[in-house]
Amino acid sequence: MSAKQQLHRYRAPDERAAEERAWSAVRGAYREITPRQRTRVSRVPAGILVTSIALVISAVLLSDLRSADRRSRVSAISTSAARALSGSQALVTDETQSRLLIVSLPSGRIAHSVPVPADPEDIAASGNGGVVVVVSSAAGKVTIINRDTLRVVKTFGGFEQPHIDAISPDGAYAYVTDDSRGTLTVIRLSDLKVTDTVAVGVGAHHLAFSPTMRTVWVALGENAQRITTLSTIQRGARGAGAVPDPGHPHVVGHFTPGFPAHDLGFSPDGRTVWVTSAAGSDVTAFDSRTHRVRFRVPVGAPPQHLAFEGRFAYLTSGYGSMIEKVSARTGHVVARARAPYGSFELAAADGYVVSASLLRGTLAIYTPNLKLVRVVSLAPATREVAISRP
Amino acid sequence: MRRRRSDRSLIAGALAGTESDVELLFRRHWPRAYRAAFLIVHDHAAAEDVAQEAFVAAVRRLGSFDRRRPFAPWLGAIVANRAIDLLRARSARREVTEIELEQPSAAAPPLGRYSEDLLAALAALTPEQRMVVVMRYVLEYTPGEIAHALELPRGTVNSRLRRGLDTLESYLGEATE
Repeated sequence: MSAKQQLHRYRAPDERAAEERAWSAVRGAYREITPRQRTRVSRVPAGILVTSIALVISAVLLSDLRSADRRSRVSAISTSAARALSGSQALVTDETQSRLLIVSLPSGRIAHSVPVPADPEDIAASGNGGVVVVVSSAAGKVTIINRDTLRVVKTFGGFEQPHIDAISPDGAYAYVTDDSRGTLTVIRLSDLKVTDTVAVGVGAHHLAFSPTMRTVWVALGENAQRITTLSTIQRGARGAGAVPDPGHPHVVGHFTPGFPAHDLGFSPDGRTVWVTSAAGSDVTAFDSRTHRVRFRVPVGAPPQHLAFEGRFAYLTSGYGSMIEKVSARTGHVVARARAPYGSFELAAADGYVVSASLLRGTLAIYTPNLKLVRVVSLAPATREVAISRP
Repeated sequence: MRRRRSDRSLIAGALAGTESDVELLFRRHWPRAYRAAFLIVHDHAAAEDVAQEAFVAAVRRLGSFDRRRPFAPWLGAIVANRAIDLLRARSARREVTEIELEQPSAAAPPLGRYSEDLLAALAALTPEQRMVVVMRYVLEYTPGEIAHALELPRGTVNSRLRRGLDTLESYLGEATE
């Protein structure tokens, strides 16, 4: 067979799976940059036509007044188009080499690396674009990195042993726990100022925002016997109309889960808080209001970690080499896959699920249904992972 | 029986906000784009990245695309240029090692009967030769379309094709005509 014929007949393996992954990304990009489908009006009654013409004339007369608004919309479209140009990336903390790795998905190629203070553990990204917050425990520092330029824009010192960070659902604040000092520090991301530091209890570790940002839970320790609950609603303000102020949370109570707790997270509907165990093999979902157990999900050896995406929770057992996809409403396991040993942390977004193995230095990349795409070796120890686009 | 819609019609639909038209366009052109990227970069993961990023870039630029021109060569040029950019950047960038899980969930599909020989032969070409050979014989563009898409003189495209085919022929030990 000639070279031409061979080239013509060549079929790459895994074409179909690659096509489905790529379509997911292309569809996402298309939805970001394309206006909604236009509605066709076949026949327009004369009265409505006159009214419409009047509205159009009014709109034209007002157009100068709105030019600034239009500019901002054009700018927003350009920004989202720019984001769409770049695919999804996993952000991974390379703990022993003190770097933040930017890894292309789904290939697993290291696209960039950013030096950060010693012992980077946790990472949080404020959605697509915005900033990345990296917590370096040994250095006692928190680094804010511009997601687009990947430049460090500010480093906060003065922590003793910061461990976990989380960004408020509106992307406006970063919360950082310091387990030695027993504090929760609040950083406003618009001007990079610390707005508050709240004493929550020694051992402050994993934390979670409710979807409405009205409530925050902080586990006191990696084997937490107690969980501190905070409110962002001003003292004295009541009812559903009270506006949350994530810049100034305050402690409202404590909760004893009945087992040593580790990671925690609110379900997307805010009705349950899922608490992983530092001693048992189950993840427990508590009613967020009554604190009663709603259901338990068997996962594997402790400690487990969790992430929510859409209607599902993803749960890992690092020592059990397991990752599960679970209905966030019922707790039923819908998919399960093996993960590299030591895959404690995970992230789920943009049509990917990823887990980083602290003990193998790998990143495992899955589809949302936990079909393994590939496992890549990135560094001696990869701890935390997030997914975002520039 | 319904007639197959033209690329031009699908692009018009896509620009009007019809997602199903984007999907039809994507599925029509994905296999060749992915195949071409793979034959240039010789790495499935990187090829997937290249083809995916090319489609995303194409979708983003649909508004400025001249619909009188054929869509496929335009997309093919984006794929080929991105694949070449990746090859050039590779030496300057640390590559990661892909490993297998202790119990892999699924075996990787085997390469085709001729694939190993073909890939070895393609690896012997310069990236520029590989690009025009793949565009000509995988994407099936004419030398004129390749010249236009890559902004190269027609003679340069023809000479790269000739040299590329000669090299492939010597590696594969087959007559190319």
